[in-house]
Amino acid sequence: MYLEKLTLTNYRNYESLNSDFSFQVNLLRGFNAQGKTNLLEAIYYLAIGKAYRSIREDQLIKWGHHHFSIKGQVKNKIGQTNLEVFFHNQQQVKQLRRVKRVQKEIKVNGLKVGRTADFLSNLTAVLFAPENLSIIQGSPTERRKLLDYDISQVNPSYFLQLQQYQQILKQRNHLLRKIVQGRGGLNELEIWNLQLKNVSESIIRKRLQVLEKLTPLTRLMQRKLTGGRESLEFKYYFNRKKEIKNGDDLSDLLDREIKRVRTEELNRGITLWGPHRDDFLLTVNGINLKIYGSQGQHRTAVLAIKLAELEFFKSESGEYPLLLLDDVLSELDQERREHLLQIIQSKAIQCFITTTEDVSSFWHSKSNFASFYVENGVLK
Amino acid sequence: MYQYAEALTRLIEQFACLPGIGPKTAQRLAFYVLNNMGQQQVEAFAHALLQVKKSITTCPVCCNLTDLTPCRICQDEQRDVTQICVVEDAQAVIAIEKTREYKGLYHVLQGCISPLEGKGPDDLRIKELLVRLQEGRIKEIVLATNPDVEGETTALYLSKLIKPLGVMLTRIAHGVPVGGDLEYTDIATLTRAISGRREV
Ligand SMILES: Nc1ncnc2c1ncn2[C@@H]1O[C@H](COP(=O)(O)OP(=O)(O)O)[C@@H](O)[C@H]1O
Ligand SMILES: [Mg+2]
Ligand SMILES: [Zn+2]
Repeated sequence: MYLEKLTLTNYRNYESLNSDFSFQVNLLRGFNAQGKTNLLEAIYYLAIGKAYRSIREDQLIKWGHHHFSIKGQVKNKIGQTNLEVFFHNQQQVKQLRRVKRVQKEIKVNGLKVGRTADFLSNLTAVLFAPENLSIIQGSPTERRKLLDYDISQVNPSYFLQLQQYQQILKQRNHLLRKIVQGRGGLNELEIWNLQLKNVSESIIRKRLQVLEKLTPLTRLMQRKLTGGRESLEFKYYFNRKKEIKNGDDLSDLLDREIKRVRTEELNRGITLWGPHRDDFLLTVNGINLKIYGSQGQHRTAVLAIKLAELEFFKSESGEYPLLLLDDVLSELDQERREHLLQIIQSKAIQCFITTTEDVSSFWHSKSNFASFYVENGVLK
Repeated sequence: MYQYAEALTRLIEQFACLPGIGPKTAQRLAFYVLNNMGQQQVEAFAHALLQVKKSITTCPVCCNLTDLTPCRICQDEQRDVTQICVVEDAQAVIAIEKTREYKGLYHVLQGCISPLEGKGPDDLRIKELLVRLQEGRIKEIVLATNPDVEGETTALYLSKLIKPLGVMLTRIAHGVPVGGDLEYTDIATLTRAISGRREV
């Protein structure tokens, strides 16, 4: 699929942007702090229904204004879809006690949709920004978040399960605290266990399936990028310690874990099992890449994962997603840039690449190519 | 600082206590009462407020709100006394009654299991339900709690409790609204409708 047109109003440092894009490579050049990353962030917002790198959405509003909007015109194999996000922050009524009028509205083809789940999968995108190295270097929470974003885009019901999981977890933690404080509640613990277990099982199973599909694809991309013969593999760790694989009996595993941690849960008053306590690692020849690899190897490995995700998205939804590469180019040597371009071209993937250097001479002749100069929130 | 006269301030304060009403709306309502409502209308309004508290009680059988003991539905000899539909609140009874499809009795739990709101099974009218089951007339229990996490949990809790008693248990189906266009049905509803599909 392709993003044909993007319109931004008061988004970050863009007061008003209205731009058409190439169906292949879109190069966004410019000095630092001019709005290149902001533009990718806006595109990715249309894919996941929120910003990937900031916590509060009112930070996205251009300073001194009260709302922002993002509109995208998407073309996929079925036809054209218009996506629209509108976020209004009425500061003047915010101080009021009861009414908190922070308003977010999302529309698909002009029709309001109530939930983010119904917005997802209209535009899918794979993003590679420097922060994404946290797939290898970061905390388990960051890693899970990246995986969950990606699965949700092509699998909106997974997103619903995550939301359901959060709600059940919140309820169960509250209950555990109540029990710890001796205010009763033991009689309903079993029922919350069952609820949490059911949705945990679906979430973990989906993650295992996805990682299993991603493994050979990532290996292939890694080989294309490096010519190396290393054997990359994802390992999924249940409750941080126990390695599990797709096909394992999750129901039995969860039952045993629930029993095992029960006493500790009733002492500490928090839930000590479930997908929010799992982790996954990328290994090379069986060794955790985090310990083994250099910064450069990490970057190549993450790029391989992202390129593998292009195939994964295609297999799930029937179409290639957009590829958003933030500040990646400068870190790659000439040979890998060539490989990357080859991969993008051979698949006819729309790609947005930010860079501070002028690399257009290298790519210009080779593809359907658009180059934009980004300066202080304006595209030229 | 200048303030409204005492009585007006009190009235604004009372309106502002109501759910969904902020200070501005409270002010508007209070001024409406003062300027636009006649003496009789104000008296009728005040009377209605007092009456609702005085005359509405909980039915000792089904725990629904009522002004009769037992309530009209529990007294109605036309109803099928072998069926009980379990709901969270009085509003759900009204909603199901509108369909005219259901001819059995009700049981109003007065809430759902939700630790966050400080409600557990003991805070719901479950004991009263078990008493009714012990009488031996009931053949079917229809679980009609809401389709959210808390309602599902409550239904699960009740099913564990009631199944051993040998009564037939059913859960109402949640799905696509009739006349609704599948294309415009949200994913949550569709997912539920698909997992709850039945053979035709
Ligand atoms: N809410 C906002 N309103 C106005 N400007 C903002 C807002 N948020 C960030 N900026 C500005 O955006 C710029 C950073 O843009 P960014 O896209 O990260 O730059 P780069 O081109 O280096 O990727 C900074 O100048 C920052 O001050
Ligand atoms: Mg940047
Ligand atoms: Zn009654």
